Amino acid sequence: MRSGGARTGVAVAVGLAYVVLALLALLPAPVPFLVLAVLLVVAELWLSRQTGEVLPLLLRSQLGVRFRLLSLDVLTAVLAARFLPERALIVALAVVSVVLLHGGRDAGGIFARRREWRRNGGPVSWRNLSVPGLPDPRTARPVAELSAPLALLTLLLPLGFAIGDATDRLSASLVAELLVIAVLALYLAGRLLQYWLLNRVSMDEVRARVQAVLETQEPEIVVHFSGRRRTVEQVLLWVPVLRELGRPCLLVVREPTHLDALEGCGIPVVFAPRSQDIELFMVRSVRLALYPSDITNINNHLLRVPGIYDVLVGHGDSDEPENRSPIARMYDEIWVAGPAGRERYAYLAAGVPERRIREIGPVRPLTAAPLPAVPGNRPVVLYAPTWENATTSTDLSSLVERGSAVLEALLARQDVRVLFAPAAPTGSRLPEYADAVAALARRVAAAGFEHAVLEPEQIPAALAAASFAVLDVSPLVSEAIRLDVPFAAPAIRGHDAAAMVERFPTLSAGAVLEDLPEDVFLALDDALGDDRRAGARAAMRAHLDGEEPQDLPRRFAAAVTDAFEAQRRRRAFARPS
Amino acid sequence: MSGASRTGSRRVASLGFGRDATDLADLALVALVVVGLLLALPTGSWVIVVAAAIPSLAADLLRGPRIPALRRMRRILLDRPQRSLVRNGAVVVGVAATPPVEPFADFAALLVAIMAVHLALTAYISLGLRRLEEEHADLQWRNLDVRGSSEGPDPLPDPVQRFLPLDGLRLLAAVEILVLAGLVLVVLGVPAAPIVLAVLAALLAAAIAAVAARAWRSGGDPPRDSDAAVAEAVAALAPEVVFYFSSPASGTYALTVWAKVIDAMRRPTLVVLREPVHLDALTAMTTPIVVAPTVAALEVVTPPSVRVVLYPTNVVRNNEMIRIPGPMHSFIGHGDSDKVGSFSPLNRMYDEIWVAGRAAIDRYAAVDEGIDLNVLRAVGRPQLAEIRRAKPATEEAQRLVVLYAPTWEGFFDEADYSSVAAMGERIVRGVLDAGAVLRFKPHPLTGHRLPAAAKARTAIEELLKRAGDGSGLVPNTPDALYTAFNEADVLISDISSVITDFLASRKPYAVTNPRDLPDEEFRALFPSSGAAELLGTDLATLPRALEDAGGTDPRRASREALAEYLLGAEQDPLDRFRDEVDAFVARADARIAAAAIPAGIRP
Repeated sequence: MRSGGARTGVAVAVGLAYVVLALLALLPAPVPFLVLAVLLVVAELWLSRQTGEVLPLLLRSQLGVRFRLLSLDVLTAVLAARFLPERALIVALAVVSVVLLHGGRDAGGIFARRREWRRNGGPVSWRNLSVPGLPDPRTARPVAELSAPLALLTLLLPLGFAIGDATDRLSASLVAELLVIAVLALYLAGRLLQYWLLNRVSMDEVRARVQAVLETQEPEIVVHFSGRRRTVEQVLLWVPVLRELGRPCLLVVREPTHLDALEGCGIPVVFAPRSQDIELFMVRSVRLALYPSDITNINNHLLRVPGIYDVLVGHGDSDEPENRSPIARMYDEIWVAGPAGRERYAYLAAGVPERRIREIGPVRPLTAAPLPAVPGNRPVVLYAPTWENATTSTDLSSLVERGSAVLEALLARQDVRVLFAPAAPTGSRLPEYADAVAALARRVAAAGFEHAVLEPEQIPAALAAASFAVLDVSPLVSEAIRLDVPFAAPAIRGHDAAAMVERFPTLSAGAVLEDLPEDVFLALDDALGDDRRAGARAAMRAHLDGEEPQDLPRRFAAAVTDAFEAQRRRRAFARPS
Repeated sequence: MSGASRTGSRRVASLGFGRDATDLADLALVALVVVGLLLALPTGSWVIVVAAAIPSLAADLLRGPRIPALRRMRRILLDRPQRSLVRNGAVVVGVAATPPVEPFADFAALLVAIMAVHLALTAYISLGLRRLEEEHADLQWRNLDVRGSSEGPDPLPDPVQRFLPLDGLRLLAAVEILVLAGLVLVVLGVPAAPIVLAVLAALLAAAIAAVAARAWRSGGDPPRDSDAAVAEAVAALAPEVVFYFSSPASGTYALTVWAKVIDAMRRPTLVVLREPVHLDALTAMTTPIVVAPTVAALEVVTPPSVRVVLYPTNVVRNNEMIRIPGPMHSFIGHGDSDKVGSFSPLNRMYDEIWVAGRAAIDRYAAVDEGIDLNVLRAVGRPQLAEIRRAKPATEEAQRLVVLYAPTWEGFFDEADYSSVAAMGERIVRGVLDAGAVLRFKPHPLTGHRLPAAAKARTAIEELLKRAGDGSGLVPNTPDALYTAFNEADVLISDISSVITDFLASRKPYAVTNPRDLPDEEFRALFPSSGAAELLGTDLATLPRALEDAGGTDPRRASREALAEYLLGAEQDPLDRFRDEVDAFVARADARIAAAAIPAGIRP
């Protein structure tokens, strides 16, 4: 994150450099032109390898690196024309060289991206699965916006003119031009060959071979997942349950970003970007489709494939609007943890018929990533706000509205260890949420070494270790109740405490923070002291998870068996197609 | 301003800032400049490169903003500033390489002018884009009073157009003419003039940037801010019924078949479109329309007054409406036939599915996909209100009018129900030979997949041209089919929604059986053919079909029964549909009362 003033400074420097370069081309002054061109190319290479936004928006879009290097090309040609106006051949070859340089940079980038795409499987991808005749896909590496060899090659032309100017050997210019042309011709030919080699197997053939492997694997259960970057946890938490079930399963993801995290999970994974891929991969053996998330319309692609029983399983229990949406009607069934999950859908009367809801017990998050260790034995307090959600009307995050006040109140207590853990997709829709995370992270870092900002994967461990947690409405509230951790939720969007509890009944087992910082102090004191809400949490836990909460594997297996039976009856009844 | 040009100009306004606004033609014109330069250098004639630059410059000046049709090629196409750069650079190189060596000052002035034009262009584009982001004018409306305008919003005003009949982007292209002229004067050796032109160009570019900055900076002209007013107008309208529509541009007809029904609604009704492209086809509609492109916009135009939402198409964006708690939702479709492929397990998402008659319910029952058959309601086909019942027999001498309205050959052989290729010409000859008048209404896509069908279609049209005397082609306009129904005495058609609709007239009809299935099997597969004469490929039954239709009409009773099965009981279809909507609203009211939805749940 850099300041606007610094960005403007960079922009002015870059702009001035190009103006000076133009004047040097016109003079003509080949040696100073070379010196400045070298500086510019090195600067461009450095800038293109920086993460974060070094340049102002203008120099990343309209006047981006492609435009700027094209300017360098044009000015090099102008230099040639001004330096050697009598030598039409050299000028013409300079023009050919810069056209090839520009084309080569474009083509190089396209080929490189295409190669990475193809190595990651191409039109589809897969993990934990071996496809005969096709190499195992590997994750695509990001392709730099500016390739260093090609950018440096651009400097060969001014070098030729500079040598010609300094030594009066004009043949140096000619040699430089011919060298550029030859190198680019070879480079493009090599890329084309590589491209041709990678494309020997057609895209349809790749899809067909993956489908053929799936035919032999005969998966019965498909888990269909789509989500933002770093939300793959939502499907990972189902993996142990599925493996315990012992039936052939398949994970279908709709974004390639989830593939790495699923590598080695023990269940075959395919990445299917198009709706046609979904139809192709739903081989005859598939009987049941499970959906861990329902935040976009993309589940429709699988739902409209006939002959499969569709179940929304979610990724944890919460009062979020997604967990009582009328759209859930489009699934054959919705599997929830316990009575609370069922009641959410009953809330809207005919929203979802009662018989389509089944309680199977709670699915729990994985506690894989440990907390950073610190000396001392201070009680841990956690602030874990949720993200801004896919739409403003379903945004339940306290981060921007109350995050700073909550964190300040927690830090004001000198005797606790404060952990700040923003949800993984925070800021993916609204930049101000990313800005708020950055600001609060700076605040935590400044507060002392014992406090910490956590990665999303560490949240389950943090909650387990916490003596008190400030949470938004999310599956973490249910987890806090299950772990018997005292919690509080900030009142947001103009709701008072009563309204919050009415709208999100699970919050009745914790405190609602209206007046900051006083309510934080009160709730924290209570959590570390009397813990008056212990009883409410116990009661709520029974309401969330039902009477037999530890028995998820057995109840899940029974639900799967029943779903298979329903699907079998249905197929027997259906007209052969 | 007409609706069509308004939507068009809005589209251009939002794209008119150089965002991907290039295509291959622009790239080719730039390549022409480079080729011109390569020809100019060895021949020493700078005129070639100047001439080669003119088409590209003219294209930028005259063609104006382009629609980004080639997003996938954006990595090789040249945006407007890049085109300008290469074009001017090539001319500078061509002129500079033409001896005698020209003075440095002229070139420097012109090169700085070129850079000034680039900067102005970029400033203009960036300011415009920023302004579009600042605005709250996403919602388009029509037939709705929003601050005194019945349609809107107006396109983003171009600040340059306030002074000139030219937008800023084109004016900047025009400024480049000055630069080009300056370069020509340099090579012609005219003193002083190039510098004057360069200064003039730079000043003009700066002025354009200044005008744009004045209008579009924060605190400049007030940004268009109509969204809140649209939401207020919709709330004031308090619609109870919403027709919700989303589809690709090619699918607008699925809404236009409902247009007359929508305008005849008794309750406050709103049409919600998700894509502005459909507006052009709805100019005649009088019901209020809003276009809500985003989920947030959709929530804004769905006030708590909305009781029922009706969906003519089954598309993924329907999810976004159904997510909004409160109203009840019904899929109403846009046609009814025995064709395969209209069914989807996704229909589970609706509270109700409205179909024409009992036949469609049986179709759902035949494929169990978890749809509760209780949600299916037969509501008739209100579009058929204008189809008149058979007239009593008139004068003996009047000739029989036969409508031949076959379907097309489908995307696959399995979906090919068309008779055009195999039987079409012989049917037409047979009818004409029997002395009847023939009207031909082919499906618009006929011949799209099979050349044989296209050939047969052309041959039939030739036949009809020669026959004259009342025979001919039914035009391809929205109302033409139902008008042709009303003028016909008998229909010959293929398995399609045409025969179901025609049954509203209770007039005789014949259905083709192009695969010569046994009659009983055919009627079992396609119940809508139950009361028809079946025409096998030998057309042996055609004379009898025409004779019976004009005379004894033995199938009259079975047609009445089938029409009731397919279309529901006899009643004014429009009244019936409006009654159904009233009943649906009542069910939605009851549900809302029972659910006691807390206010907090509504967005």
